[in-house]
Amino acid sequence: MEIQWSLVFFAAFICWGAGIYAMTVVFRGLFKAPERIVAPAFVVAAVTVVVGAIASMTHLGHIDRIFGVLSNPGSGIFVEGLSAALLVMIVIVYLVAEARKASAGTLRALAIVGVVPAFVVTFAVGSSYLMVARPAWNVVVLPLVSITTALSLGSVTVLAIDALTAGRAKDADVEAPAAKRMDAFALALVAVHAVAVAAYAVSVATAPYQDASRSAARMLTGDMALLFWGVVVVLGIGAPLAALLVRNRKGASVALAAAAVCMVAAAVAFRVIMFSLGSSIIDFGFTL
Amino acid sequence: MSKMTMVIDLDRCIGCYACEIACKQENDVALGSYWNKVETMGPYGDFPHVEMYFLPTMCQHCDSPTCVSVCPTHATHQREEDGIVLVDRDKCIGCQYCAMACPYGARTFNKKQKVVEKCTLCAHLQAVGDKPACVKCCSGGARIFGDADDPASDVSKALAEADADAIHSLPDVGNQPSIRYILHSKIATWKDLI
Repeated sequence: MEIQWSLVFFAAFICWGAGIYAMTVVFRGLFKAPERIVAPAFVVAAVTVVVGAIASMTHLGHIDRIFGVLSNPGSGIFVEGLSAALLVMIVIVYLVAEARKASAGTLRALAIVGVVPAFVVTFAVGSSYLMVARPAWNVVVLPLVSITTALSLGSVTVLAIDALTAGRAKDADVEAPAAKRMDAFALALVAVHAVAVAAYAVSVATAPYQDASRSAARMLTGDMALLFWGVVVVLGIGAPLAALLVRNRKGASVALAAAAVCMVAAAVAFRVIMFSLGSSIIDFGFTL
Repeated sequence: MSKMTMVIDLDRCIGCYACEIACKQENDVALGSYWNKVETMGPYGDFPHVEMYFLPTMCQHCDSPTCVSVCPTHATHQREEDGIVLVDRDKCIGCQYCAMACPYGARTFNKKQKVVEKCTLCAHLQAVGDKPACVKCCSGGARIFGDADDPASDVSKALAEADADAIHSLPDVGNQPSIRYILHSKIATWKDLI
């Protein structure tokens, strides 16, 4: 089908924002990531989610009727909209609570609660496309790729924020072990994302109702190959791996930020490929 | 409870495209879009053993419509009294998820009104006791409209008169299309589309 650019950017930015949020909470909870990264990371996450939401609005023909979605809570749009709005609201509440010197426990609880809508919205931007009519979409790996995109992209972005704000570190020696553990975790997440992307290619190849318009060959060796190998694989997987491996050298912050941008491009490219392969089992061409 | 639907007798269809035109005229379908489209199947085989037939396509008014479940506003709905799948233009937000969920690509996006449209089985004509425009104009009498749940209806009679192996439908991927096609092998061999 035609590439739905609004939905492409919606999915990419939602994964990015939700991933930043979730990985900030994970890094803080598991590896005692420095507190200085939390507020900037949450702000970037919320802004990114809002940008994604605005992109999705440009897809709608009648935004004036948007509240009609309240009539069907089971629909993908309802779940996406509600969870994205909840995530942004939790970030706002967190920042207000932090400014009002709320207790550490309150802030921690708020941050953890926000992981739920972050996960739900990320899953929903994949699961909304599980439609039997479009075999290349109707694979359970699709929402999995959304999640691995969010986690890998989010972790690299949080590490970039960490590196960019390193000048404000209270004690670099104390933070160094945490940074190493976060690097290792991010590397593992990028590896998991690589496996998920490979699994998507396998799922497309083994999906029912095979057709040239939605074949894995089109993605791997055909007209989508440059996007797949050049952007999804090299920029989306290769760039973060390279950036994480040069982490302890000079210029790491720039490398990590560049890797995050490359991964956003890869997230966009993946959705472009997804829409390009999204032919229905039969298309009589009712619209020219 | 009834199930209004259509039986299309391909043995009778001459491929005149009048149904396409009647549909566009009756429903003011936008230029470049269709609610009803006649496909040419074939010719298949090697001369002189060739065969072809015409396949009028449209919304299949499925019994388990996938378009209905994905609609976030219930704009796309299945009418309880007769099972017809309709789009309420005043509720449609133009997200086009229904068009994505249709296995046949039978929906079209009206770029002017920014809503999704499709065959309504001319519900507005049914409301005044009339038949769909494509049925009324069919010169070969190939299009038959009626209640599939009523054994005395035209559609039930047409199906009862046809050989069991001559009754076909578009591929069913769980949506249960309600439109039936009649094509006897003496006219042409039905081609599976997937």
